[in-house]
Amino acid sequence: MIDYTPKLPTGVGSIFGDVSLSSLSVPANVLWGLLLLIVVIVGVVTVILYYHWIRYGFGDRKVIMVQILYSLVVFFCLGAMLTSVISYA
Amino acid sequence: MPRLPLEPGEEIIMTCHKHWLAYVLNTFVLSILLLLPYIAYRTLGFATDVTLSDKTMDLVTFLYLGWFIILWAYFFIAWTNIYLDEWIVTDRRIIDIDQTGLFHRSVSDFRIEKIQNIMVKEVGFVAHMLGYGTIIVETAGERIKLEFDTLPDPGKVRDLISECHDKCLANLTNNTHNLEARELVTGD
Repeated sequence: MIDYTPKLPTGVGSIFGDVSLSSLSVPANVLWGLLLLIVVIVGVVTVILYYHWIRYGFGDRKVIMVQILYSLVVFFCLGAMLTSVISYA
Repeated sequence: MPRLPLEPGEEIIMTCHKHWLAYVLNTFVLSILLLLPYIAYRTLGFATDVTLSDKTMDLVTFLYLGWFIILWAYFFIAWTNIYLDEWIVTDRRIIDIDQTGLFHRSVSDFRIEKIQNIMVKEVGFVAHMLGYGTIIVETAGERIKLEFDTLPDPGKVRDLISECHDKCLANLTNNTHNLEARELVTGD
């Protein structure tokens, strides 16, 4: 009886050997920490950007549109990240 | 809230910002960076998983969104630096605002009547097709040069500055004649 176990291809130039995403295990605390770090960084950047937009671009229609677009996307991104972390944990 | 201190009676004629092409290079580079995780995933041998578990999908979503939001913030920092770089042409001055970084801003102004030379440069096929170029204004006295690159429709801006320059000189001449006439009459 021949025992044959097919060897599955590991992709083009698999430099990490048999590592796959399914085997990655990150503690939930790390993700919470990363989320907090990103919130702080993006928060500081947002304050700086708003300062510049209000001080130098107040009343400019383009600046108002940019403020809305930037804020909406940041808000939804952070919301999605929070949902992912809660779901992961 | 006034952005700039204007003189009494001074009017803003035109505000010039950079051509949209100035934003394109930043956008292109950031788009490549945005796709980088996906390219790495496909080429570095991680793409062996036929289906990812829910937990792994949450992790991937979280990491990718984190990467995206950082690039998004960086894009708007670059956009702000480019957008706040502007020329303001009033009926008396040209105000050159140079925003080289978020915390690096320089404002210079030049009297329009002191302008000696205005030059417009549109170099290359792309510049001609898209209608942008560089405008260089030289003033008298210490031969100070004002330059604004990637300006849309530089010819129109040059014509506007020339018109304002002629009006300023005409006003100055009229004022001088009026002053001389008054001196003759009053004997002062």
